[in-house]
Amino acid sequence: MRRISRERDTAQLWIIFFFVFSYFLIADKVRLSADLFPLHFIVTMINFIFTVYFFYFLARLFSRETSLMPFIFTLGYSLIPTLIWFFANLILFVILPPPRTWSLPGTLFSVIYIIFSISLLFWKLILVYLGIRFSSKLSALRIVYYLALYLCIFLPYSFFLYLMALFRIPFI
Amino acid sequence: MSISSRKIFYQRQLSPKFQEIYDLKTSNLGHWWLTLVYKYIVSHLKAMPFIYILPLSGVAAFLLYLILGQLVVKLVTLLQHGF
Repeated sequence: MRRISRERDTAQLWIIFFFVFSYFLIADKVRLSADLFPLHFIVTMINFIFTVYFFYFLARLFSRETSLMPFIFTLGYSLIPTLIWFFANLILFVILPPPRTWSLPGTLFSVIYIIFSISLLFWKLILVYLGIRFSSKLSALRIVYYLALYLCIFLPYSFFLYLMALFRIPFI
Repeated sequence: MSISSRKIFYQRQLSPKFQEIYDLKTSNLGHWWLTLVYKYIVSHLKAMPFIYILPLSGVAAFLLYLILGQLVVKLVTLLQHGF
């Protein structure tokens, strides 16, 4: 993440955003909600930009030398675990569509799925923490405060998106 | 190593490396005990994080199964619909 925060090659970000774009294209076709595909992608990009600027402005309060590009790169790379989880979910929805049953294979699959999801969540949290740490150069305690503040804003916003029938689980 | 090659080595390799390392101040969580725990956890996660993440996830999933029981299956059904 230290090296990623010093990157200036935007082609890498375009590749990640291309995968996000193709995920929504495929997912909306599978869900038979192809009309909403542009809206899903645009809302995701707005969420990403909001996240980047949120942490950037908070970091600027402590150092005028903070620049925006490290946040864009590090938080862009932190989308990789999210992409993996959503793509895996998409593939599993096609191969093993829900609902899961209470049989032994169903329970075993459920436990393995939970292990997979929690691992990716840990990975995501580590990447987000490291991304903010190397972009903002703030201490760990301050980063934890900012993440808690971010969740206080983002969780109600995610619930609003759920009520609007846009996202069941937010793509962050 | 001659003096000039040592200078070149320092300028081209060592100095940027030191700048990279000392660019960030060391983390301080406000209390010495918290800082110690943080440094201990981070030292293990820095090398190969998945060696620790996978077993921890396994333990968390097992604990979740003990707490929720068969509701874990319903939770997974909900998550699978979440994409």
